[in-house]
Amino acid sequence: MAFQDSAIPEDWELDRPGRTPEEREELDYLFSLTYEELRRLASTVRRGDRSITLNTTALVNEAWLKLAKFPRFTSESPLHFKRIAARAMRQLLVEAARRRNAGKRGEGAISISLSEAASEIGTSDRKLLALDSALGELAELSPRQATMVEARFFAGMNMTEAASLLNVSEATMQRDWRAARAWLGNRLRDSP
Amino acid sequence: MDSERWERVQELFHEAAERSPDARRGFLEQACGGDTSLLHDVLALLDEDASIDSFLDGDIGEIAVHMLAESAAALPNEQQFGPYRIERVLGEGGMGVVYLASREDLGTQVAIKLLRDAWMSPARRERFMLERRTLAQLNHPFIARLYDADTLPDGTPWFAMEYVEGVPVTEYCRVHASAIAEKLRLFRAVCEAVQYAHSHAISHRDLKPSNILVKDDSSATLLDFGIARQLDTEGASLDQTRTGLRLMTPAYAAPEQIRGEPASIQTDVYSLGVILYELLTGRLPFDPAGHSSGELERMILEREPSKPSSLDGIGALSRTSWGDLDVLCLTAMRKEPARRYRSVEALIRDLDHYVNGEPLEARPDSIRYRTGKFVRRHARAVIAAAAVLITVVSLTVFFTVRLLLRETPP
Repeated sequence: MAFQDSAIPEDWELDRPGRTPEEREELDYLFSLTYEELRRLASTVRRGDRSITLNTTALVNEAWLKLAKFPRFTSESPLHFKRIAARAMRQLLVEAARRRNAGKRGEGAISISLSEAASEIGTSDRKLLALDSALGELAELSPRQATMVEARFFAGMNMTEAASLLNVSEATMQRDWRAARAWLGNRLRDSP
Repeated sequence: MDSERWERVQELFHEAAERSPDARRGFLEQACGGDTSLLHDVLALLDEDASIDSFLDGDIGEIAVHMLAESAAALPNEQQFGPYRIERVLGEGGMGVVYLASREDLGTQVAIKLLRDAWMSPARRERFMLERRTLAQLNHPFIARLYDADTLPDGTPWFAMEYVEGVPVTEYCRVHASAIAEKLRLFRAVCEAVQYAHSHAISHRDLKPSNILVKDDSSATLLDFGIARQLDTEGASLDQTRTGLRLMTPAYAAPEQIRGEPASIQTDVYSLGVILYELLTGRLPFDPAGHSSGELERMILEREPSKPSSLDGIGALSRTSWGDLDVLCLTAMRKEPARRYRSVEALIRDLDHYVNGEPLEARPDSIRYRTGKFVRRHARAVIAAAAVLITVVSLTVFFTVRLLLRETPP
């Protein structure tokens, strides 16, 4: 997977040529904090400390509310943050799925307590891994579409936001989405 | 497929989709002009476009929450860390997980901390390594010691440190119904540990009761230097830009941390003030209960905490004593870092002054306060001195009067 070679998010905006090592480090830093915040939120929700709706948009918004006031983030726009969050979420979920899959194949069996959502997770594991590799292919064909799908699916970004992030019209975004959704959906159906 | 072809596929897909379902095939066959693989690709897209059960339409929020929380609770694939074998999870934070592990040959237990998902980003690895280096520098009876450090075959860094089998200091005091003197003793130990770290140019920045464990033998140990920072010679953090970026427990965070400004040794002084406040009164100066984190942060930034002595149900002490404890807590907790105790050492000095019944350095001078303190501290001497004074004065008056009476002719 492309993202394993480089831990730094690499859409064309974040990863434009000529980015300085400092900027890359900065990005990596924002990325790791976003990751930690998502983790923290997830455990909070699981412990039932409070009730927040479990949809992606709410999760990412919650993380943004928390992070927005820190100086490193105040220079970031909420959209840019969601872009980073989307990548963090994708890596997290895909890596978790990959590890679980490896565990199931008996490579050093790990004791994971199976929850009520276990079977649901089993299915989504395979889907996520398939989506991840399909997105990698899409990124080769059309980086803009891959970014849009990532932001939408992994950070709950809506069309208006995505259009504004990628600097295209909403109509273009709708077309991009429709085609990308069909293409990816088709790839996922073919996968085991 | 390449980008150009994908463009073409999409074009045809959109054009076909605008037509009625019956007209699509005819249109495409003509448009593809015998390129059956192109035709096939576009038709597959159209099929998928009509489906309503695409994985892409789902929301991964719930799954994400399960996954994120699930993997945290699991034991690592690798259960042997050097000579140590993992037994169970002790706790987890944003960066790492802490396990209880034992070393069979020596029969000892240690706490092992590892960086979770080390592959994630270089920045996280760097911070984890910094914590290891920080702990390695610190060698103090009240600070959990670093024993060993290494990296697993898969690249996950870990370290073994002293396992402290204790409870958070606040819980310890509650369970044991500790007297104020005992609370102050424990608090002083914590201050000593923090002062020691400061003397090694390290600020802790995440002081809170859950990082201060008290064992059955009533000794206190300071843990978790996970966001500690190297200080410059002025006592300000060298790593100014990254202050407070980890989302710390806001209840113990200093205003400058909430604002994301540079931390300094005064930041630790503030958190110590909050801990002292909580130890003495059994509650937090700014109670998070029933407030959103935003409200809590505003309170920390804007509101003055109530004096500990003004709260109900606090221990029985004289008014002056409570007055001094108020000053101790509230001086440490001033909003402006420059107005707090200049160092943890200064805080310890005033603690000792309090315990010895001497005037606090932080207390605004008033003759009554200083006299009161002096009299209470030296009650016996003052009474003796007063007695001598009264005797001298009485004798002087007595002899003067006698002299006058004798010299005046009747």
